[in-house]
Amino acid sequence: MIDFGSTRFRDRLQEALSRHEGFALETRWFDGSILLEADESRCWLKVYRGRIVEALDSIPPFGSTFRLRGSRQAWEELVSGERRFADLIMPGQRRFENDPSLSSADGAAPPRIAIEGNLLEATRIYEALFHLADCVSQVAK
Amino acid sequence: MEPLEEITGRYVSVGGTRTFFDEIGTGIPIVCVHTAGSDSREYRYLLPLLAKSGMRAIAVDLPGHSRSYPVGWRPAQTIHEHAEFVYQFGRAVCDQRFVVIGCSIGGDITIDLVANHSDELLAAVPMEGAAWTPTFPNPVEMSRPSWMPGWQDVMERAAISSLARCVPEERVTELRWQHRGSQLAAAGDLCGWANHDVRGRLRDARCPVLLVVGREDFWVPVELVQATARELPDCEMEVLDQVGHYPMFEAPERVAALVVKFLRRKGILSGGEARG
Repeated sequence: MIDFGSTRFRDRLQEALSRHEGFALETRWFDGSILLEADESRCWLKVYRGRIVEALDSIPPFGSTFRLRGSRQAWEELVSGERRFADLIMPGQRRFENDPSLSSADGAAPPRIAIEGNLLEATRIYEALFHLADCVSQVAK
Repeated sequence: MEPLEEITGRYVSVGGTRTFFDEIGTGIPIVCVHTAGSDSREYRYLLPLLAKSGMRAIAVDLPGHSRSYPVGWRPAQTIHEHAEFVYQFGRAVCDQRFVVIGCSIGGDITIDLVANHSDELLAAVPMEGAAWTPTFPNPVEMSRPSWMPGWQDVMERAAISSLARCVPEERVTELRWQHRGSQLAAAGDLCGWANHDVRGRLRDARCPVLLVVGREDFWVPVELVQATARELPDCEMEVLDQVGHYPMFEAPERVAALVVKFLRRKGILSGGEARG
């Protein structure tokens, strides 16, 4: 279960990310912070040169480089495997089970998990975000 | 010395643009069109299977992709531009009418050809495409490396994430490498995908169409393909279980069998049972 606000979840996530070689590789030249939000539950990660330097349950005064913001339900869709991370973070409406007329079709529809803030930095370490998502899923299961 | 593959790579000038294609086999020509940001390598497993079934299987590199130069040194920005190029390419390398099969933007390209050149095609097999595909944002503000330095990983992850979960790791890695091409060209492809719309223009199509969609492809909801099928007068549709966005790469034997059986049912291809 996703629980970014709990100390146990944060500690386990920090540990998982610290062991993840791919995450370390992709954030080798990143000096910033990533905020994870699931509804009101938050986890702020300070990342410096491949390492999680600190993990907090609130946003410090200087904010974050960027954040991944979604509902708890959206994050649980990741954990359960119902939807892929690429599907969750990319804008666009792609589910029409309840919309046979396709009236909601919109390539710019907001994503289930939005990446907000410094998008240049976020997409520069895009590969690292997938490793982060893998670790979040692993910890949440 | 190692044995050489039977697929042969060749170049042709299409309206003055140097264009590369792979080919194998003789017989009814089938022109294969790849996905956004990729190239003819996506068809490496399907081409020999089609050739074994009595076809001249051709896979083109769209302009600006891999070994084909862009038309006028400018990447295409619309599906229609690509479709007209594929039409001219087909006329340049085939001495008769041909079948077109395409995936993703290739599927949209195939449908655009059905809208505009159906009486000049033997048949069309759009895979993971539809008459209208508003399922991905227009990447116009991401098209240059200075605007979006992370494009490479965005493109690659968009590709491999949409493979079926059962695809072996080696094939996932191979597909990833097939998407390490030009950002300018790939962004142009996806601009085309986002703006593609030929709804209402398929009702007079004169060639048979086989629509193919992988059930695990989240980029192309089955509902969009079903809506496309309803517009076409001579259409069959196949939904493939355990297949994602790249049927010709993920399940080449199944796709080859489907295509060959379809073409035989339509009297386009003669012969015995389809292999695969």
